[in-house]
Amino acid sequence: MQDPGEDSNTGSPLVGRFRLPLAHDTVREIIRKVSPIAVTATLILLALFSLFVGPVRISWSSAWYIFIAQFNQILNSALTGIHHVISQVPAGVSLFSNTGSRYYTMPEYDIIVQIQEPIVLAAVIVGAALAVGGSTVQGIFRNPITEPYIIGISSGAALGATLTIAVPQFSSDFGAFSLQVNAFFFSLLVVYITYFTSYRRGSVPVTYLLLTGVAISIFVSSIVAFIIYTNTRLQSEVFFWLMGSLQQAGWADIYLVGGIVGVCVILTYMFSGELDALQMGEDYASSLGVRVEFTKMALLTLVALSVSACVSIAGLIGFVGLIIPHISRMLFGGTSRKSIPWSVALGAIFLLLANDIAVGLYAERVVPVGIITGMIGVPFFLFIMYRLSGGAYHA
Amino acid sequence: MRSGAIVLIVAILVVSGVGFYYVQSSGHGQESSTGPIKVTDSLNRTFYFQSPVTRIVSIDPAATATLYALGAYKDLVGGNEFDSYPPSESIPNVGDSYSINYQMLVNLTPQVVLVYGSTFSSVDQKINNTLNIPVIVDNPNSISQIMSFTSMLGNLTGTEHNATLINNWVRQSVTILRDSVPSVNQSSEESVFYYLSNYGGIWTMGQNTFINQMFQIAKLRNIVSFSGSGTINAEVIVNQSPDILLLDQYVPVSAANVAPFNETAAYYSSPQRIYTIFNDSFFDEPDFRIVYSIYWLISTMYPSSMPSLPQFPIKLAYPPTTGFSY
Repeated sequence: MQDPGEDSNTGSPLVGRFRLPLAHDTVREIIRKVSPIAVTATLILLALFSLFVGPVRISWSSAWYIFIAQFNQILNSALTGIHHVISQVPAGVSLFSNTGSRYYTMPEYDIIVQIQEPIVLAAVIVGAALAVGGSTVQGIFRNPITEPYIIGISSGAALGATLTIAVPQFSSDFGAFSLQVNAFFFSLLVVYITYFTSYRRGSVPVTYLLLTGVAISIFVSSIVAFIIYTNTRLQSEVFFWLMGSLQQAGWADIYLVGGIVGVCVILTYMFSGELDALQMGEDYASSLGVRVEFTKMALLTLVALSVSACVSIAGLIGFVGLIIPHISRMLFGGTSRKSIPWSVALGAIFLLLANDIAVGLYAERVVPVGIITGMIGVPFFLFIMYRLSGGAYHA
Repeated sequence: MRSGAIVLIVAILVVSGVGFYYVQSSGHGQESSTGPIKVTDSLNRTFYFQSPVTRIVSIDPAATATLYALGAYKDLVGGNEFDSYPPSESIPNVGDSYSINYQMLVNLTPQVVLVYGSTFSSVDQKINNTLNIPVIVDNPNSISQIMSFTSMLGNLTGTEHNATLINNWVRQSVTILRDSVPSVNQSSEESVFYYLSNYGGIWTMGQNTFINQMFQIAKLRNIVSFSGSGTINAEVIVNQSPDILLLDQYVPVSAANVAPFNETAAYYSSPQRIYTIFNDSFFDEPDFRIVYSIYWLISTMYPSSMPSLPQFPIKLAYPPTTGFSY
């Protein structure tokens, strides 16, 4: 199958039209070569830095000994597990000396291991999933102002979360994970209702899908509003949930959601050729041998799975899925083979940064991160659009 | 690329599965399953402690006030945004029921966290299940439940004797207050409406609340028939036309000059029977200070009845009347 490639300059509003408007090709080439290293280094350094953002000061040396203790604990747990199967493997070993426990306190250990590490990883996972979801949905709809929530994920997740809090029957089956599980399944349910309602004579026209998604989202949101209205206990809780926060993330969430997002992102990447073809138009994609309906459904399923999983632990965090794909294309070109992996990194960076601001803005309070993503995301995006898009958005 | 992707997917699934299993099987809760001190919260969860706790974080203003009165304020290592009693609180503030600063909370190394009933279940879950700190939920809907909570805190902090003294004082005071109200037939009781908030509707407190019980003691009939708190249809207020309108401290008096309140008996009576409560922390926080709210209510509605309350049994730097005025 022919790869539409980033040099194509016609057909799609998303592919191949982005150019950094720099005077010399040499400078542009340097930027292109440096950007991957800069983005990767920024992600790693920012993730490390984020572990220390908060009202409690923890020294780097204490953190180092905490990491060693944590590593030894993970290693011992793994070896103990393997030892049960293969008795020749020692049940416990310590690769690094763990005499540093006197250099940190138990609260410091808990803050790093039980609070900050899950939050930082949640920011990376959620940011990545939203950005890749946005990139995929914009490609499918060939519309630069769409984001993953457009197909009903957000309203479905809100319905699941609200029912969990309002109706005891919804909170009994999955114990502590009821809210997450219900948010996940209800968002998938709404996405599939949207998809199959848009079905017309063997295909799902993207315009139908888009409009149906908006309509069903409004309908489901009305049901949520009614439930909230009739149960005052819900009002502040759902209100805060809708604003998005990473503060509740724990290790169990990270393993579950990280697994789902990781698999979905890899599978989405494997569809990058088909997605590029779709961005050029369904007829064009079909002429290249792409199974258009199957590809659309598979990609939407992957987006729904990964974004629903993220919404279930972080609530609704806006703008990431809208703006990060654009920034990724501006920096690294329009093909999905590049925009998807770099959306992962840029989405993670953006959400880490937003969460650091949310935590660091006040000495004691934590602002919902969804507020911050909008406040810093929109001006930043407008700047990028006007200064760096090189006229790509001119009609 | 395909084989590499498959290997990566399998690796992710294995790490996720093993990690999730490990986290789930590692157990929750650092409190003992047995111990001489046994407390049960409003969610019917039972917690055991080996000895009275000495490191408490309170995200519940009523619990903070009660601990102070019990003489256990020294055991409080963290408070919340809305604590008002005792005044001049100097302990760290960890947030409120909606937004907790978990770093600060963990750094305070509490043995137990006290929260109010409206606290988010996700907050409860994070503190209890992830951070392994017992969370005790307080959600009293009546004076007897307020006294039970006081007893529970006394048990938890080793101040049972003071808890008994406070509960006896509450019981005795309520009896005196109830007896001081002129007797009226139930059918001729005056009707009352409590305007709790004008944010996004007309908010009020209905049946099965401790505020409704205060009205019952003062022989006032709450015009609201639903349970708990909520917004009320303005037509009900016009139709029921309450004789008395109580405004929360943060509801502007001007709110009573517009419909539906300017169509009520309270508005048309001369003088108008529209009152702003003296201090909403006394009125809205379910703790022993509710006695003073009932006193204010009865003294305001029946000026000829000025009952004399027994002296508070515990000597405090800030007496419980701090902030109470009539």
